[in-house]
Amino acid sequence: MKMVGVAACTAGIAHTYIAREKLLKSARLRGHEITCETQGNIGIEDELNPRDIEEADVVILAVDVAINKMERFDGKKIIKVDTSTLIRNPIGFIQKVEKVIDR
Amino acid sequence: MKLRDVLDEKIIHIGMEASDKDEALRKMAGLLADNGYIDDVEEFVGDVYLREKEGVTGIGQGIAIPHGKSKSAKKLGIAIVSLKAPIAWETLDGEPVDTVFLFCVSCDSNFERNHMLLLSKVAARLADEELLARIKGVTSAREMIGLLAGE
Repeated sequence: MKMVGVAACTAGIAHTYIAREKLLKSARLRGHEITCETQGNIGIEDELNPRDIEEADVVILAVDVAINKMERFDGKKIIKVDTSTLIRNPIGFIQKVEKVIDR
Repeated sequence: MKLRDVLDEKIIHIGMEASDKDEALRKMAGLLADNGYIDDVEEFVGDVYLREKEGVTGIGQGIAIPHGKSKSAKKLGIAIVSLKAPIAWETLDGEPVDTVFLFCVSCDSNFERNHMLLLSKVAARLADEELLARIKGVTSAREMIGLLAGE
C-alpha cells in the first residue's frame, strides 16, 4: 500500500530521526511505498508532498507530541504510534498497519 | 558541511570506566565542558535528566541517546563513549547499555541550524542495526567518526 508518515518526539533531537529511518526501512521491506517527514527541534524536514498525502492509503503518525499541519490529513485513515513502540519493533508495527488497513 | 564536521575526536572516549548512569553522564558532561561545548556541568546534567524523565533513551542493542537542550550549551555536538563494562539504563529492550551518545544542543532552535541538521542526520544513522553492531568493535575515536560519517 501507499503510506505517508510524520515523526516527532518531545525534544525533537534524536528519536524523531531514528523513528523516521525505522519507519521507512520497515515499510519498504514489507513492500510498501512510503515517504515520511520529521517535525523536530529544527522544524519540518522532508515535508510531505500533498499529492503523496492524497494518494496515501494510510497516514502513520509516529509522534509523542502534538504536531503541526494536521489539517492536511482531514478525511484520511490515521494510525498513531509512539516513537518508542515504533523503534522497538518497526516490522511488527507495519504488520499491524497491514491488518488494520484493509485493501 | 559533512557529518564529519559535527563529530569531534576530543569528546569521544573509547573504553571509559563508569559504574552507573549518573557517573557516565557526569564524565561525559565533563568532556563537553573541558572542550568548550558547555559552560556549566551541573546545569547541563540537570537538563539531560529533565529529558530522561520524559521517556526512555536506551534504544536497544546497548545504545543510549540521552540529550540535553540546555542554556549552558555553547557549541552543538555529540559526546560519545563506549564503556568498559555495561551499566543499567532505562532501555527499550531491557538490556544494559555499553555505548552512549550524549547530544549537546542549545535551547535556541535557530542556534547553529546547519549543525543541528547534521546532528539529526547522525541520529538517523543510529537506526541502522548493522552500523550499531559495528560500533561495538570500534577501538579509536577516529574509527568511530569514520563509521558514523559513513566513510
